[in-house]
Amino acid sequence: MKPMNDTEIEKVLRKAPRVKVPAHLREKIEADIVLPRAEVNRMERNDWRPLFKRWLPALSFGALLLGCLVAIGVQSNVLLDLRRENQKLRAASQDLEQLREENTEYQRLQAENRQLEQLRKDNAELEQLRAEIAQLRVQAQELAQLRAENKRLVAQQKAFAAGAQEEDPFGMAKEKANSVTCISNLKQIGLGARMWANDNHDILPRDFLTMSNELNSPKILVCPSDERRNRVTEWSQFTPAKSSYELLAPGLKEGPPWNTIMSRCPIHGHVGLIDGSVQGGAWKWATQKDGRWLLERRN
Amino acid sequence: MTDEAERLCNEARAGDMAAASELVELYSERIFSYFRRLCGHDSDAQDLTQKTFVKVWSSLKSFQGRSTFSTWIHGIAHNVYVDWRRRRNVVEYQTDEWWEACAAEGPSPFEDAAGREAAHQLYAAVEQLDEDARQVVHLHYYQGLSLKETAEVLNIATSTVKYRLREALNFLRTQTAEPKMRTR
Repeated sequence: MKPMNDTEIEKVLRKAPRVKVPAHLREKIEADIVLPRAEVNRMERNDWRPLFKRWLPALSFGALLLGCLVAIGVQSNVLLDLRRENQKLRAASQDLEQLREENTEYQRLQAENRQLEQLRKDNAELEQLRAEIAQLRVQAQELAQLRAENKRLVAQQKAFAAGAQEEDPFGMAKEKANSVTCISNLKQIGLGARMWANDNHDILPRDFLTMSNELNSPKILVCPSDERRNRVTEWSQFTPAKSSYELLAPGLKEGPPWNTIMSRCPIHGHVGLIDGSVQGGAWKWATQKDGRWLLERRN
Repeated sequence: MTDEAERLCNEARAGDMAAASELVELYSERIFSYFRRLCGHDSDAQDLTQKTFVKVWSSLKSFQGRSTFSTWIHGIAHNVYVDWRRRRNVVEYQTDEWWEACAAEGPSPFEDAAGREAAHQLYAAVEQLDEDARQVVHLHYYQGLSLKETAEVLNIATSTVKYRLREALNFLRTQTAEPKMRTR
């Protein structure tokens, strides 16, 4: 092949032979033509879309503006309410100083009132204590009288016993009978006290009235030799001063030592022990130890 | 022709089927030739041409007139070819027989048999160029696009087009100077 320069090469390339076009190519291509008209028709069918798109910014702005106006309206309303409330509070704050003073006065009065109430309570308590003291004084006087009478009776009984033994055999028999009755009374008292203790956690009764349910009658609480006391037949008429006997173990626990003296007759000197037995004229062997009256054993 | 093509394009865009047919008449042969020379088979070239025009119709609204219609349709054709080639991933080189087979009937541009043979050898050498240079030669010399139009179709700078053409010409000159065609 003959060598070519650039110009010759370009010339030959530009003269490249035409290509045979197949038959019906143009018809095939034309059959495929789909022009934008169809798009236009579709847009016309749905022409609200571009309209909406065109108006969307304006609608958005309008909605935003409306929202802002509503927000401003609401805020203004809230602001007005707050102003009114503020005015009310200012008016109220002017009376605040007076209210404070009144409150201070009220607090002071309340404190005084509390103090007064306390004083009233103290006074009532004092009155009660005074009444108790007066009652105790009366009881103390009564006790002193009883002791004196007791001594006198003992002396009288001793004198009478000494005289009667020598002069009056009938009197002696009567006194013997009285002594037996007295022992019987102490027995009944001891039995009643143990029954009461049995129902009350083995604690002995404090006085005769406490154990009234366990005794048949208040008559047994008067020694037959006691001429100075009247026998009462009803518990409603009974007082501790109307009994000849003494309870020496009130409120003690029933139990050993069994020689603890529970009751005694100051006239005959009989003693009722905690075990329910009665020792005739045994008071002379009684001793006191640790707050208890004990009957010492006789050798 | 450019003004005519743009007028037809505007009319076709407005939905004028006759204008679209005229555009087909104007460009179908050139686009088919472009594909036929590149891919080597009538059926492939026909399919690619149809695809190109389908894309033209669907993209007609996007044609803004910034380039000529010829450049725009060649750009679409080039993209269609690149896609096809990427999918096929095979390059076939045309032989002398191919040129004989595909050439249209009519008077030959070459005067004698020796000139015709030299031309066929040169066309065969063009098919041995690398793909970039081959595209430049096809668009500039075979399709008759200007340097600027070629650059716009390939989306490269005009200077790059010139460089590739220079390289292609150098290669072709050496091919014509050698007694035997070099094969790749």
